[in-house]
Amino acid sequence: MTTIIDKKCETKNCPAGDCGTCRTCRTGCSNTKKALVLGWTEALRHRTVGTALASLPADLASTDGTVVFVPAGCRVEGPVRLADCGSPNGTLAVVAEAGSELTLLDTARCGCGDGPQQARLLIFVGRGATVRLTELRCLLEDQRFDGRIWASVNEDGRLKLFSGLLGGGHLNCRTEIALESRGAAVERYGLALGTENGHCEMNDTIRHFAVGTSSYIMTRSVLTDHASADWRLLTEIEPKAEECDGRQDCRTLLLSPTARAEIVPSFEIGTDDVTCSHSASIGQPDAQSLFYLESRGLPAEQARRLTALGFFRPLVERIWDDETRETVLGMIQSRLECRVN
Amino acid sequence: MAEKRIKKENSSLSQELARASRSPARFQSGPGLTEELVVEISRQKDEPEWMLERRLRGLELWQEKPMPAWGPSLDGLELDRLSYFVRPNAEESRYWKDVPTEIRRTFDRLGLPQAEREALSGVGAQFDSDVVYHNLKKEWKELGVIFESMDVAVRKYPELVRERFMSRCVPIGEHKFTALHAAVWSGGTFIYVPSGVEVTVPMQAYFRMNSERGGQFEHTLIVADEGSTVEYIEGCSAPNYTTSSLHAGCVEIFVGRNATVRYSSIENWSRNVYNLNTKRAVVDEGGTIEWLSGNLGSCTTMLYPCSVLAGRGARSDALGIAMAGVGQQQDTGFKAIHLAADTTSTIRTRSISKGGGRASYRGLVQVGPEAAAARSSVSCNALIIGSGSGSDTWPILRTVRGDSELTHEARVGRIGTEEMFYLMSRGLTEDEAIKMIVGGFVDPVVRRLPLEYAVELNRLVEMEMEGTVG
Repeated sequence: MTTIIDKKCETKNCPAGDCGTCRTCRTGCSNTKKALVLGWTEALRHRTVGTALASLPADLASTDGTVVFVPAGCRVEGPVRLADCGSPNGTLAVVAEAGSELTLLDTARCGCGDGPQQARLLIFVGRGATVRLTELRCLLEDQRFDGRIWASVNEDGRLKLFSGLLGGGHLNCRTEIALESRGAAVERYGLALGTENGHCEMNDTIRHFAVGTSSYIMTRSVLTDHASADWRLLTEIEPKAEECDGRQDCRTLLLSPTARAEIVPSFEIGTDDVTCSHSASIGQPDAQSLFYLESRGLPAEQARRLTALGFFRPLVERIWDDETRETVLGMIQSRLECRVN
Repeated sequence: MAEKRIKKENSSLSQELARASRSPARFQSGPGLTEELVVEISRQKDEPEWMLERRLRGLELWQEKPMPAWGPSLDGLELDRLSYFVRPNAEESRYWKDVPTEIRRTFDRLGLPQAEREALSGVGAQFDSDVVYHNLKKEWKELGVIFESMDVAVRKYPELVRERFMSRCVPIGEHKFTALHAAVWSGGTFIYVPSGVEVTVPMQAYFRMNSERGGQFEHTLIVADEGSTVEYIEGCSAPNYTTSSLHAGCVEIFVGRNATVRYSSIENWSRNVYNLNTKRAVVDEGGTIEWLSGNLGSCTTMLYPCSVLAGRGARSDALGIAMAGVGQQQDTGFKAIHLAADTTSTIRTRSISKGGGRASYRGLVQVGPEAAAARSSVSCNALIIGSGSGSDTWPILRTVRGDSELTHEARVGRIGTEEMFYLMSRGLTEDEAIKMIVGGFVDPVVRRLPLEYAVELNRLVEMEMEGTVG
C-alpha cells in the first residue's frame, strides 16, 4: 500500500475530508495502531515524539517541520511516499518506536523551484525497529542545497538510508549516524549522478558506541561534463564497542575528461575485536565492456549509458522495494539520456 | 633457547649502547634555539655564505610557523629544552680503527662494519650531529660515484648541492619542522650517481642519537643521474632516556630520466623520541623511486614519504611497515603526486598495533591536470592485538582528470581464532603462534629487504612481539 502524504493539505482543508492520502490523515497500518504524520508544534506536545525531539543536539533544534511517528509494534506496509513540491526546505523527523517498521520514500524535495535549499532529516530508530528511507534530490544547474542528516539507532534497530543526488547543482550534505546500543545496524547508500558543473560533497560519519554493532556504507557516483564529487567517509569505533563490523565501498566513474573526484574513506578504531574493511576506486568505463557493447551494434553513447547504468546496478539492487527501485532507475535513466550523448 | 639467546643479545646490546652513550660530547649547545647558535653551527662547519642564509631563513620560518594542528599530540615535546647541536668527540674518518672505541663499539654491536665487508658498497655512521665514519669502496669511486657526509658535500660539491638543497624537492618553509631542520641540520649523507652507472650493491648509513634531550637533524640528498641505479639503506636508533628527544631529518631524492633509486629505512628510535621526518623524491621521465619504510620505535612518529612524479612514465612503489606498542603512536603513510602523463604509483602498507599502541595510515594520491592516464593502487592492512590498541586509516584519493584510475583497499582486524587454533593444535605456544602470524603478516615487506636487513627486521619484530601474551 502506498500512502501519499501531501504537504499542501497542511494549510488547506483536505478536499476529500478523509482521503487517506494527505499528511493530516493517518497512514494505513497492519494492526490497530496507526502511524501519524504530525506538524512540529503538534509533535512537541506528543509524549514520545516530544521527548525524542528534546534529546536532539542543540545545533539541530528546530521550530518547524514534519514528523512521521510510528508507534511501538506498528508495521507500515509498503513505502510511504512524501511527494509534494511545495516546500523543499525544512525539517523532516522520523520517530520509530520499539519493534515498529517503516519504509519511506521522500521525493518531496525533488525538483522543486530553483532557489537555494536547506533541509534536515532526523531519524530515531527504537529498539528492534526498522526504518528504510530513500531520499532523492534533483538540482538544477547552479542550484545549491545544504543538507544535514542525523540518526540514532538503538538496540537491535535497523536503519537503511539511501540518498540520491542527480543533476548539475551544488550539494553539500553532512550525515551523522550513531549506533547507540548493542546489535544496532546501519546500511548507508549514496548515489550521485553529477552533470554540467554539478558538485556533490558528502561527509558521512558513523559512530559505533556499543558491542555487536555493524555499519555498511556503499556509494556509487557517475560524473559527466565538469561535474565533481567528494566523498568523505568516517567509521569510528569506540574502545568499548567490541565485536563490531564496519565496511565501506566507495566507487566513482568518470565519464568525462574534465570530471573531478575525491574520496577519503577513513577508519578510527579503538579496539582489537573488529572486522573492518574499505575499498575505493576512481576510474573510467571499462574499455572491454564498451567494446563488447559496440561490437554488438550499439552506438557509442548508448554503450556508455548502459555501462553507467550497470555501474549503478549493484547499488540500486540494494533498494528494498520495487516501487522505490523503479523510481530511482527511472530518474537515472532519464538523466543519463539527457547528458551522455 | 632461541628466545633466550635473543633476549640475552638484546640486553647486552642495550648495555653496550648505554656505555657508548656516556662518551662525552666535544660540543653541546645549551637548551633552545637562537640565531647565535645557528650562526655558530655554520661557523663550526665552515659553510659557504649561501648555506648560512638558508639556515637563517629556516630559523625565521620556524619562529613564524605554527605547530601542526592535526595528527598526534606533540605536547610532550619540550622544544625549549632540547639541545639542537651535539658534536661527538670524534672527527669524521674513512678508517674504522680511527673511530673512538666507545662509538666504534656501539656500531660494532649494531653490525655495521661486518655488513660493510659482506654486503654493502659504502657505509656512513652518524653519532648525534656529526658523521664519524664514511667510506665508499674504491671500485665505485672510480666510476664517479660520490658518497660523502652532507657537511663535506656542501663544501666540496657546491655545484651539485646548492641548487637542490631544500629548494625544489623539500622547500624550507614546507612546515614548521622543515624550517627547524633547515636552521640546525647537521650530518647526513650525500650520494651522487653519474649517468648510466648502476651501483649493484647497496650503500648504507646508520644514525645514532645519543644525547639526552638531544635532537638529530641529518640531511640526506641523493642525486641519481640519467639511467643510473642506486640503493640506499638507513638505520636509526637511540638509547632510552626519560626525557623526550626529537628527530627531524630530511631526505631529498632526485631521480633522473630512466634512473632507479631504492631507498630503505628502518627507524628503530627509542620510546622517548619524537620522529618527525620529511622525505620526498622528485622523479623525472621514466624514472622509478622505490620506498621501503619500517617504523618500529619512537613514542610518536609522523612520517609520510612523498613521490612527486614529474616526468612522463615516472613510477613510485612504496612499501611500509609500522609497529605501535605500549605508549606509541605511529602516524605514517605515503603520498604520490602525479604531475605527468602515464605515471603510476603503488602503495602497500602493513601496520600492527599492540599493547595499547596506535598505528595510523595517513596517505594521499593526487592526480594533477597534466597527468593523463595516471594509475595508482593503494592497499593498507592493519592488525590489532589486544584491547586498548587502536588503528586508523585516513587515505585520500583525489583527481582532476577523468582518465585517471585510482584504487584503494584496506582491511583492519585481529588475529583469527581459526589461525591460532590451527597453529596451537600443531604444538606451538600462543606466543609462538602470534609471532608466526605476525611474521607472515609483515613478510611481503621484509622480503623486499636485502638479506641482512631482513634478518634484522625480523628480529626486531620478534623482539617487539616478546611478551605479547600474558
